[in-house]
Order: sequence, then C-alpha cells, then structure tokens
Amino acid sequence: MTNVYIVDCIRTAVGKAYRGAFRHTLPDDLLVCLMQSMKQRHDTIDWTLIGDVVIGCAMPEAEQGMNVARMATLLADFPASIPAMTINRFCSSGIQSVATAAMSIAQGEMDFALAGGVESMSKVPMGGNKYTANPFKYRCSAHSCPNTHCHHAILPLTAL
Amino acid sequence: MIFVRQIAVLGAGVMGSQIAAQIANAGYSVLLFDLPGPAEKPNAITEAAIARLQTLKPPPLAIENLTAAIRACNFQDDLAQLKHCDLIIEVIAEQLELKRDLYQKISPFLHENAIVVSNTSGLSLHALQQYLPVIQQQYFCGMHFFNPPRYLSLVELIPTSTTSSALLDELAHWLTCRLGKNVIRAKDTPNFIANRIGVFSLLSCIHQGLRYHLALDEVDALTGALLLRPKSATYRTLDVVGLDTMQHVVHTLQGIADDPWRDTFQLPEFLQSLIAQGHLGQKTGQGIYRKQGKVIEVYDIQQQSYRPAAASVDPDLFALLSTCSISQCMQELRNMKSPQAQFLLAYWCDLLHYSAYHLQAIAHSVQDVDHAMQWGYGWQEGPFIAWQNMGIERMLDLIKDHSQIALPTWLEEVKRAGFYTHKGAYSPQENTYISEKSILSQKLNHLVKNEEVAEFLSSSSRKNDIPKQLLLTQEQAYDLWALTDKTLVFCFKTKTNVFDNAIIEGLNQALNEAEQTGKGLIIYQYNAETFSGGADLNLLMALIQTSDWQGLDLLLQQFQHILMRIKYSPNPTIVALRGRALGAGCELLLHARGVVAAMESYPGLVETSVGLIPAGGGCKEMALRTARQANGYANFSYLKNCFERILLSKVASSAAEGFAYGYLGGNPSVQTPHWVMHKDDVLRVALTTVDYLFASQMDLPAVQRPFVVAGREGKARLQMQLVNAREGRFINDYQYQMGNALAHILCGGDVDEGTLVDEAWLLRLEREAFVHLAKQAETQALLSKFTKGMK
Repeated sequence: MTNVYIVDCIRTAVGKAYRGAFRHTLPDDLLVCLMQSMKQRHDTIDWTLIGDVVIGCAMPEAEQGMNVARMATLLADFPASIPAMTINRFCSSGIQSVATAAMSIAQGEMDFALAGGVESMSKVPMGGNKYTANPFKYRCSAHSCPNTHCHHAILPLTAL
Repeated sequence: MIFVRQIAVLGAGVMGSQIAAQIANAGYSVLLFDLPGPAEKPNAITEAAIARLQTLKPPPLAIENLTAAIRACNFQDDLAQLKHCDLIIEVIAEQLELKRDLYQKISPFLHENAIVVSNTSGLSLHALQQYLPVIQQQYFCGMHFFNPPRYLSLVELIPTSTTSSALLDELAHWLTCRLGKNVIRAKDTPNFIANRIGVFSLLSCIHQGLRYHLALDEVDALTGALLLRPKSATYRTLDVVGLDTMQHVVHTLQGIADDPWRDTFQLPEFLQSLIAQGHLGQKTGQGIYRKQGKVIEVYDIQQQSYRPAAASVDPDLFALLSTCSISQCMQELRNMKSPQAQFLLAYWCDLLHYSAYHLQAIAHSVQDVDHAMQWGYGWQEGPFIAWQNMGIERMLDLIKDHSQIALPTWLEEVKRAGFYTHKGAYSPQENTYISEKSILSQKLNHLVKNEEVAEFLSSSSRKNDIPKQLLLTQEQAYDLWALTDKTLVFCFKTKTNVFDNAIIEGLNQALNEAEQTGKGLIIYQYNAETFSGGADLNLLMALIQTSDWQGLDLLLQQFQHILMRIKYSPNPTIVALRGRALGAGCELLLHARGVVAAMESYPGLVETSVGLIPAGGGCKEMALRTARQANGYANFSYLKNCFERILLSKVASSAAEGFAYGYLGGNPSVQTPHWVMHKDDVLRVALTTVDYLFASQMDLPAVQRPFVVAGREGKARLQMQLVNAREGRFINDYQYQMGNALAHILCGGDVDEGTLVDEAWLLRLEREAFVHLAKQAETQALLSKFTKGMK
C-alpha cells in the first residue's frame, strides 16, 4: 500500500440557503471555480495525469445531478479523458470522497486524484425535489399506527 | 317543459357513437348501448366503439378525455338504466324487424315522460311509433342527424301525425341551444329533405356526366368548389359514403310511387361492377378513387382500369366562372357548346326542376330546402336561392326545353316576384311568403329589441346587407354597434378579419366610446368560420421589404398598446368567439376580460409558421399565465407545453382544447373581487348569478370523472411528516393517530400511487375512518368535553 498525502485544499465561502450570496449560483459553477483555482495554484503539474475526480454530494439531483463531478470537470476545461464520479453518503459525502480517492491511490490504481464535495441547498433542498418514503416501513393499519416511537421512520439523513 | 338530464343512445355504430360524442361535447353524460359482448367482457362492443372515437378524423370529440362522459352499456344487462333516461335516441341498423324488437324490448323501462326518437331515414316513422307504449307515442318523432354529426349542423325533425307539437318545439329548442344544431322540420317522406335532394343531385351528376362523356374526375372538378360546394363534389362523396350504402339508398328511392324521375334512381353499370368487385370506396381503400403511394388514381370507364387523377375545368369555362358565380353567368354558359358547359346546364335544369316539383310534398318552404342543403351537404347556396340569382324565368325556359316533366302550378304565380322577397320565403303549402324568425334570433331579440338586427346578428350566413339601426359607426374596416344600453359591439370588416392600422385605430375609438359612456365592449365577427386570421401580412411584408425596421417596431408597439389598453381598461371587453382565431386574433383573446367561445372555436398562436413569433403580447401572456398556474419550480412543466404549442403553431380543435391550452380562460390578471362587499347584498348577486348560469347554459348537471390519488407512496410521505411532528412535540399522540387516518383517506387508501379512483371509493374510506375514530375513547372524551362546555 502506497502512502497517500493531501497536497493542498481549497474551499468557497459558505452562503446561507435561499438568502445568502450563493443563492443564485449553480453548484457545478462552485466546483469549476475551485478546480480552476487549483490548476492555477499548481501550474507546474501535468493535470492530464489526474486519475479520478471524486466529489461528494448529499442530494445529487437536478442542478447537482447528472454526475456533477463530471459536469464540473468538463466545464473547468479539463480534458474529456479525465474521469469523474459523484458519491453519496449524505452529510459525510465530502469526507467519504477523500477516503475513496485516498484508497484508490493507496491500492496503486492511480497516483494523483482530486476529491471534494458540493452542495447548494438553495437549489436542491434537504430531501430533494420529490421527498419519498418506502411504505413498507409503515406497517400500520388503515387508521392508526401502533408504534409510539417510530425510530426507523425518523429521517435517516445523517452521516451513517 | 322537458328536462333532458340523462340521455341514452341505442346503437354504437358509426352514427350512434358519434351522436353520443356530440352529446358528451355538449356537457352531458350519456349512456351508449349496443349488443352484449362475451360473458367476461359484456360491454366490449360498445367500449370498442367509444375507443374508436378517439381515432376518427376529423375528431368527433371536442377533447379526448370526454370519453369519460360516455358510459358503455349493453342491451342485455343495462336496460334498467333506461328508467332514468329522459331522451332515448335509436340509431340501430335500418331494418324494421330489428327496430321493432328493440322498441318492444325497451318499452317496459321507459318512464312516463321519456322521449324516444329515431335517426332512421328510410323506414316509416308511423310504423315505428306503433311499437312503443301508447303513452310514449306522442313523445316519438324522427331526429335525423348527418354524418359527421359534430360538424354538419343539420338535424331534420320529423313528426308523425300524433307527435305532440309542444314536444317538437322543445326538441327543436334543445337541439339548437344545447347541441348547437340547425333544425328543419321535415315531412314524413322518403329521405326527408336533404338526402332527397342531395342523392338526386349526386345521381344527376352521374347520369349527365355519362351522357356528356365526361371522365369521373372531370365531373368532380365541375361539381365541387366551382359550384360553391365541398371539394368532395360527386364521386369522392360516393367513396366516403360507401358505394354499397349508396346502392342501398338508391334502391329505397326506387320504391317511391309518384316520382317521375324514377329512372334516375339507379346506379350505372360501371358502379355496380365496382361494387361487385368489392371496391366500395374509402372503407375498402378503393372505389372510384384509390391511392397508389402518393398518387391519387381515378377509375377510367373506357379503359376499365385506374389512371392518375388529372382532370381540370376547360380554360374558357374556368375563366368565365372565376369572374362571377355560376348564377350570374347562366346566359354565357348557354352559349358555350363544350360538353362541360352543357353538362352544367343539364345538371342545373335537373336539380331545379326536381326541387320545385317535390317542394310542397317534402318541405314547408323554399328556405327549408335551401337551408337543408347548406347545413346538411355544405352547399353555399341551396337550389332556390341559386335559381333566383340565375333569373327564375330565364331558367324556366331552359328547364322546359330540357324535360317533358310537368312543373308545379305555383311556379307560374311566383316566378315574377321570386322565391324570396322582403316578406320572406315562399311556401307552396301556405301559398304565401313566410318569415320565420329562428329560435336564436328570437332569444337575441329579447336583449336587443330589434328583430331585423337580431336576425342578422344571430345567423352564420354571410349577408351583404347589414341593417342600419343600432349602428353607431360604419367604417370600411369595421362596424361599431350600440347594441344595448350597456354594450357596444365591434365587428371587423377587413379580409379574413385581419388586424391592420384601421382596426387598431377602430379599437381605440371603441374603447374611448365605451369608457366615456360607461359601457362594456364586445368583439364579435360576422364571419362564423374565421374570427381573425391574425395580423395583416401585407402590411408586415411592406415594412420588411423596405427595411423599415423602425416602422415595424412602431407597428408592434401600437398593437401591443391596444391589447394592453383592452386588458387594463376600466370597462370590460369580452370576445364572442367562433371559428379560427389565429396569431394576433388569439392574442386578442388573451387580453380580453373574458371569452365566450362556441364549441367550434379554434384558437392558436401560429406565428412560427411564417417564421415569426407572437409579438402582440402572446408570449408575455402565456409566460404570465403559467407563472400564475404553477408554483415556483412546477412552472416549468406548464411552460414546456406552452412552448411546444407556440413553436409548432398548434391550433386547438375545439373550445375544450382551447381551454386546456390556456387560450380561453379570460384574464387571470383581473383582481376584481369575487366577493360581495355588503353582507346584505349577497342574495341579490346570487339571484343574478342563477340568471346568468341559465342564460349561458352553464346549468347542466355535473359529470362524474375518476381522478388520480397519491396512494401508498403518498401516504408514506405524509406519515414521515407525522413522525417528525410528533417527535418535535408539534402534535400530540392522538393527533398523530388522527393524522394517520386522514393520510389514509386523502391518498386514496391502500393503492398504488397514480391509481384512478371514483368518488364512491373515497366516500367509503371517509365513513370507515370516521366510525373507527368515533369508537376511540379519546374521541369520545373530546366530544364530551366540548358538549359540556357548550351548556
């Protein structure tokens, strides 16, 4: 297993949902800004050597759907040969992306990766645009629910 | 007073199912009956007929989802349903024994005021009447529709000698106002009026065509648009009707005893041969015409095979008839010796002679015959008005040369004065001129209080003489009427009612007048087919060709300005719409306070078909309307449909579709209160509301339609919210329980998301939940606490 080093990091400011500075900004544009900044900061690196771009996103749909990692990579003028994937572990998506990218490098799949995360709750709110539950969990009768504490029903959006 | 609430149509054939469709179009629910299908699908035959309605062209239904108003029934299981039916229309096969059996079968199920009518055109109405119970017999008559019953406005109403005349009046009123038909009362003679004259006309064209050795497509070229008739003319009409059907109809007419033209009532050899070979016309894909790939071929009698259809009218004949209608140039026609000209003369002699000979026996007046041909066959001119335009005495000479058959004596008395005078239309039966005001004209007259104006404004026919009374302004481009003390009516007079500078100026003047005198403005057109063809393209082209871009922008501003002025005027503008409203015409609809639309209204934004986009506020209104309809994100799915319709120049095929497209709903920006300011005034407004509903025929009973529910998945979503709300102590435990019960009902119970349910389904769920909650101690405690508190 190869040793893995985090070489640099960068982030945007954080704006409030619906009212903040980034409420009109598209999430892929947020990523593009960061990717291009990274390229500028490290202009001696051959960026065509990136093995993977791994981006975490808790609600990967609509404006941050369609594999937002890939969209941003292309919009940032990276060559089309650079692969990208978007992963989801809810709130821990971002940190999971770093772990995933690191594991790829450790196993020798690649030497160099870009990892990160993006979320715009102004564009895609918590739960997404069609917040749904599986009725299977709710084995209640027509008119009542016998459970006094439906723990399994509490919205499992936490970082598990 | 008859109250037609529930209607049944017996027989789901071509005519029956389309008649049911027109009844559904009128807002009624209707039972459609046919023979029972197999045991596991007893209504299969009727259901197939209803499904087929959605594939016919032109569409019999105003909008596809109207099939929900037609209920499939069969003669075996559903006769008991007839007990609730007020009007029963029999449209089964033209065989006396079959009809006899059916009438006897339904008789026990008719309620005492039930009206039974028959669409028969060949069988004896008197004979059919005898098969009904005695009480029902006075409520029986013939009600003869024309194919297709949505688009051909004629209905012939035929009483027997014992039919109640009050019933006939009520049915005429119902057919006119509720089904949008034009009613003619006919006498009980074979094929009544329209088909009697129409079939003779077809046969005369056939026989005279053969006599003058004209090719079949040549006959069509001469008897369609040239005679101001539909382009299906003669032989294409036969293909559509079906050669075998024609054979059957002609056979029936051969039986008429007192018809000197009996010899005309047979199909020539070549047609009989085609029928024998199974070439029956449109229904078999081949008849007189057939389509080979993209080429239309016509049967050649000489060659006894098909060749490409290519016939045309002789150049000199065409030149003559381009300058004037056929009625105006009969003299010149007589001088032409060509077979085509001679054919036309011979045909006209036949038609006029036949019409005059049989008039007294088949109809009340010349107008009934002329109207029958206009409304049932789509002829622009009926035989008598055409004859009058040709010169009655001049044609009489020709007719006498052409045939030995006698002419009726009344013609001698009438030939100088004419068939139509200012006193009315000639009736040989009354031996005088009668002037009957139509049902609609009488109704309009109640409001307008001027018979001549009411008659003129409630007709579809294009008249050249506009009555002068009540006209406020008469310009070249428009007329402005002060029709009542509360309304002005603006009528375009430009070609196809296009918008040009004069119209824009006129509308500004009309609005000035309305605002100054405190009146409402109605925009209505004399032309029943074309409300407006849009902006004047010649005007646009002139500006474009001279690169006058500033001028073009100015014109657009002026047009946008007048429409915005209409939209925000202190006085309401209502559009009375019928026919095509395209481009700018549709944009006018979008800015009016309201639109009163005939079912046959065809609005559409069609600018892209000439490479432009709506720029009179059409795009703006559609964007605005979708925004008001939707809520934020959901806006896009409405917008997408709007976008496609404008891009593809889609035109609605009925008012129902026009509403669905969002073109007819009136002004959604109107913020005038829908509430009454003074509490003590609500009763008065309620009274005028009931008046308004009856006057505009919005009083029909509602039609049940199934609807979509959110199902199990929807319930799960609501339950998530309940769990969170309880955890957060926003609701207590019992509210949580009631919430679960409520979610179950609102989502339609234990069904898949998107299931279609009816109201009975949800009503049952409501009762079950209510009773369940009533059994709970918590509910009983709450009730008890509440009632104690009240004491």
